[in-house]
Amino acid sequence: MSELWQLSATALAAAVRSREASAVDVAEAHLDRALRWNDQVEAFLHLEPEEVRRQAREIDRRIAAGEDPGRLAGVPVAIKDNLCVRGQPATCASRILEPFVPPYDAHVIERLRVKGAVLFGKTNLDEFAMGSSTENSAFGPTRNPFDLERTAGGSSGGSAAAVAAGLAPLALGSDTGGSIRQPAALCGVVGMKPTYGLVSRYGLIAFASSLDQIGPFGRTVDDAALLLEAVGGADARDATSAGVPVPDLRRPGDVKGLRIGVPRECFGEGLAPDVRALVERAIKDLGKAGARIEEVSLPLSVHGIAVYYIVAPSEASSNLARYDGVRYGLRGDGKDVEEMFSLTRGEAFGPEVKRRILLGTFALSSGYYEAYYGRAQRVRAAMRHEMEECFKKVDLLASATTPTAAFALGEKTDDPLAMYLSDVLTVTAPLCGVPALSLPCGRTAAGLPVGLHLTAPRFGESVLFRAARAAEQMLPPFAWPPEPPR
Amino acid sequence: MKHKVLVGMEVHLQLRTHSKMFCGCPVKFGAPVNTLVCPVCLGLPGSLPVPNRDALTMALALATAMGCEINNLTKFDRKNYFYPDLPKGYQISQYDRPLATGGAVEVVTEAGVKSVRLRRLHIEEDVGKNLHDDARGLSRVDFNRAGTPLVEIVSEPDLASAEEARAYLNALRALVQYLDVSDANMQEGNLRCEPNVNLHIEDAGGVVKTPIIEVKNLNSVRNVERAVKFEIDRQLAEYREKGAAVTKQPRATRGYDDQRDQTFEMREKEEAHDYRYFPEPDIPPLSIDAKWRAEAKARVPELPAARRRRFSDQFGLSAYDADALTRERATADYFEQAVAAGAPPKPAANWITSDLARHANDRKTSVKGLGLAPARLAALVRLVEDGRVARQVASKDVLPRLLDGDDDPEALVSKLGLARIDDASRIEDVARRAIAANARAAADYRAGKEKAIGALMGFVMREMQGKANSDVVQDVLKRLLREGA
Repeated sequence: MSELWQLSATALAAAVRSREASAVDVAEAHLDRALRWNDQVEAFLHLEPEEVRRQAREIDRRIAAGEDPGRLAGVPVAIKDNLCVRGQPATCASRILEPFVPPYDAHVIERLRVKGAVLFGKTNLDEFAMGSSTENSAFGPTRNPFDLERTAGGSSGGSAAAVAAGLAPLALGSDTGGSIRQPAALCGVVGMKPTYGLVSRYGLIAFASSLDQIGPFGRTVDDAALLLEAVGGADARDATSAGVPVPDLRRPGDVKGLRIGVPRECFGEGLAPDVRALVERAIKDLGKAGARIEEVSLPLSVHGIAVYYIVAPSEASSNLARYDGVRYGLRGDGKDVEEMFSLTRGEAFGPEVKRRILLGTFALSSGYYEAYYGRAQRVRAAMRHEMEECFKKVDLLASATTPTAAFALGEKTDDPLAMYLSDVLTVTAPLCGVPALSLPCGRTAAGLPVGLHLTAPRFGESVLFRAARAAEQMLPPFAWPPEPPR
Repeated sequence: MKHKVLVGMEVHLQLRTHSKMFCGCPVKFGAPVNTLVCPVCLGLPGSLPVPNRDALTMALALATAMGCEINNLTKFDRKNYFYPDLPKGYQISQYDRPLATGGAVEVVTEAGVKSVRLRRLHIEEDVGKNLHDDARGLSRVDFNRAGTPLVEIVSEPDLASAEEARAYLNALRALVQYLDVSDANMQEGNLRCEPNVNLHIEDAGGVVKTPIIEVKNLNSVRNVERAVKFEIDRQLAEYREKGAAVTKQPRATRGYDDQRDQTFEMREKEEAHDYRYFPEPDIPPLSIDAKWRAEAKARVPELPAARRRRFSDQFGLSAYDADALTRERATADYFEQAVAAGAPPKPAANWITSDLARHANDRKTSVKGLGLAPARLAALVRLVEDGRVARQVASKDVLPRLLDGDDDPEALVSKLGLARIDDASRIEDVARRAIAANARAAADYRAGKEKAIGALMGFVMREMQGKANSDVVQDVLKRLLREGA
């Protein structure tokens, strides 16, 4: 019989609701595993067992009292540490926010509490979600459960690794240029970035406001859907919230007649042969299941990385200006205010964060604005248009999520450009505001997971999840990483 | 030296909304430090701004009232700079798509009516307030004010004197009070303004333009007028000293010291400010549709300029008097109520803008705040106009009692024996004494110096506590002098 930690979120919620298992038992099973594994994987930055147990007991009490405990009753959900949970640290893996404890819950956290989820610790990330390997975390990198010498991806590496290793069945991450989908691919789990505006960003510590979206991790497509359904929908506190509810994502269906476009530009030189082989086979399987596979072209998508690395740092340079030591977080001493500002920011931000603040400050400065930020915005608008046109011909796009499987820790830390290029296949979706999902489609010879990337039109979550579920049924089932040495 | 004065005005106006511009915190002056704050206006990580629709509607009403062109599509931008009172490290403002552009404000000075063109009107959020404890060498920041909605109104440099600068601010204050969108109180900081002053001086070689000086630290309309006046004189003196070389000086900011009544150079940072404006990604652009415009327009009542013109046409008042009456909505209402109660308009206007205004000023209230019912004023004005009480007596003896609670001017006049004395026989005796006591003036008058009669009249009026009809007094004196009394 399966252990509790091996069950899907869907199965756990059913077991707790039907009182086959208590929320406390579920919490203990995952705590036991997390407390043993975290030394190796370093998925969590904060995990307070007593707080987890308190929430679990409350769920059990609600069930005993005959109250509806919610659709996520007793299901542990790991939370990326750039989301605000009242009374718990929210460090963004940065020294500057090390002492910061938010006095309020993010919208998604409120929703999780209402649905009966158990908030299960705060997961590691690249500092302020800037990076693709969690090596930019001020508190050390997360390791890939499939190979501890390799990266779990980033920036939501902690959330992906926690789910892959069975430390939590579900996790929330945030995706700006691929920060959910890339680590999901490298850790062999499902990760999804919703349409911009589907999930409220209230309480998500901003990196790049026009790109950031919160999204789910799970080991199955249905689990990811369950979590997205719980946290998505309108919120008056986010002016960019689209104000639309999440559609039913778990309705059965298949891919018969779906037109799936394969963008030529996503299968260029940088794609590793083993990744290409697995992804092409998965796409072929979708064809066999009745989808119409056709090659399409998105010529502007090749500018994605260039546009992204103007837009995201520009917004970040402004979003991170509030960390000045005046109201919260670390404060550098100084003989006057100017010196306090520069000591605080000079000492407490890591090198990648500083690099992006400098890039963005430059791109927005007078005399350069038009050549950089202005032009990037125009290319972005053209990319959106190109994407819309493409979705008049096809229902979905399919490609690899990442050009390679998990790379070794330290492999790209000295070469920021090489690191940036690991997002080359994922940046297009956030730039265009469209939803996209990565699901595991097999392992390389070295046993490393590879992700299949599906993209849908804006608010096309229904068709996206339907196709992902159909693909999941044809692909090899989720396989656990090797157990850690005791 | 022939020169032209160019003053442009940048005004920041706090809107009197219930809640702040981007969060639900109340807008209130004088609450204990940092009690009107939340994650949004403190700029806590993860918080997001949501624009206050009511603030936008108020700003739209103001733009409508000033005849501005309202943009169909408006958007917010971030203005980036570091300062302790700025919670997010940027201010949410509007850059290249303000709420409205163009428009004009009519100003009235003794010289007449003038239309001052506007450049733009936009909305932004206020910052916190730095509090310095010099004794302990500490600074604190109060964020109660942070996030209060502000409207910024920028005029063209159409103001040609310090008087016009004052009149512009008065006109703007009148406008916002009519619209009921701001308290526009400079002392409380609801209205802040920075005049930009320079001169075009006619020189042998053409026109010399002095560098534009922005003046800061102004906390009253009076100080704005004084500071602009000082700055005009200073720039003229500087030109006399340095000649056309003044054009090589950069534009600069100067502070105003009201103790010394002078402006002083403010130390500016070497580097020019680069605010790195870019579109606020947390707030989608707003489309101002016809329905919203109509809603804003419905908030616009008869405005001071229109009312001023109507008062001139309907009641035959001068533009200056009509302006003084209409500057405060409640005062204009008061005037109309007094007229409706039977007061002849011109004298009523005079009573309100001189006597009542002076008492209001002494008691630190408004004309309406004096609590004198418009019908009472009407009764008093009628007594004077009907010749039943002298204007001076009414002003000095009757009005103060009415303000202190007596409610019937006519009863008061008879009770105190203040009725005007028209009977020559009751005046003659005093007139004789006046001539006897002022032999020199009497002699001068007889010698043809008609003005000398003034001293004699003053004597009589003083002796009779101002109650005598001055026309009768003059007649009696002339007759007695002629008769050689």
